[in-house]
Amino acid sequence: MYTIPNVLLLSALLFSIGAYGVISRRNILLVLMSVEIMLSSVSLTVLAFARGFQGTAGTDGHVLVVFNMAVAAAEAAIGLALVVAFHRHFRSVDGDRATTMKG
Amino acid sequence: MNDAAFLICAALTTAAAALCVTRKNPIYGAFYLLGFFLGLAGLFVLLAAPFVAAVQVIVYVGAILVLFLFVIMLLDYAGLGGEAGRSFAGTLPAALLAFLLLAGLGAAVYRNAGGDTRPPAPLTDASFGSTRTVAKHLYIEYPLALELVTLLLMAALVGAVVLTRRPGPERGSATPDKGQEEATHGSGGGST
Repeated sequence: MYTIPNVLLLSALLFSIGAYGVISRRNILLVLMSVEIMLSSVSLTVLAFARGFQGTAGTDGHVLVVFNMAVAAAEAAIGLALVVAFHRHFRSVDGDRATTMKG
Repeated sequence: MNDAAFLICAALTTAAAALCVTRKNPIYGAFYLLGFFLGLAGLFVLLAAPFVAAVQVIVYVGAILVLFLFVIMLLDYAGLGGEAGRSFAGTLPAALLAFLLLAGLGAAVYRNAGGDTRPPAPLTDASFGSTRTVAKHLYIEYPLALELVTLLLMAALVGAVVLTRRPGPERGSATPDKGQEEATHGSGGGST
């Protein structure tokens, strides 16, 4: 049950769910949420390996996850600012409305 | 004990993630995302990373999720009309791609560690993953990366302000952005 490969499989499943959301959703808010799910599932992978290695290598993994969270926070701030700008331009949060550059 | 905790957290995260990406209303999506983050924090505790679990709750739930809800409330959601319904057949390619991704990742895990059915080895160092251990490692081994991340957050902060700034004549900018003004045609300007 609780084994490192199972944790890795769980995080692969969560990553796939997030990828499905990014591809299939048109509401850009939900696309951003799916991106957050993908980012967090990568943290889960890194922590599973950190638990396996332990020691200094494991702590390296914890530090990497902390940096990942900082990047995720920056991404969320920029992404949501883009959502606000998008909504101001197109009066919608439907990503398919952005057809300005359509040939 | 650990098995039960793992199963509960795994079920919670999987169900919450699946529900989050299939909701029509982003507010429901945000609340399912809350369940996902909390379940993930539980998994982090299980993986002997209490400090990272605490940071996960503080950053993701306390900052990112609140930011999401804040933006949803900021946009006049009643006027959006929601997402036009997309049939199941329309999302089938996405489901297929995600399934292929899962199959590839699962095969990689299975081929390299499929035979490992033992629970993780007990911790050799009881302080592994504690705040002191992680902080020492972070500040002694990676001071430059830490400074760069603070710079990144600063840049993101400034970028978010610039992106959401309303272009307007009352700003008194020396070079009015004509393209942006034309793009907001018929939207009623800054009345909302």
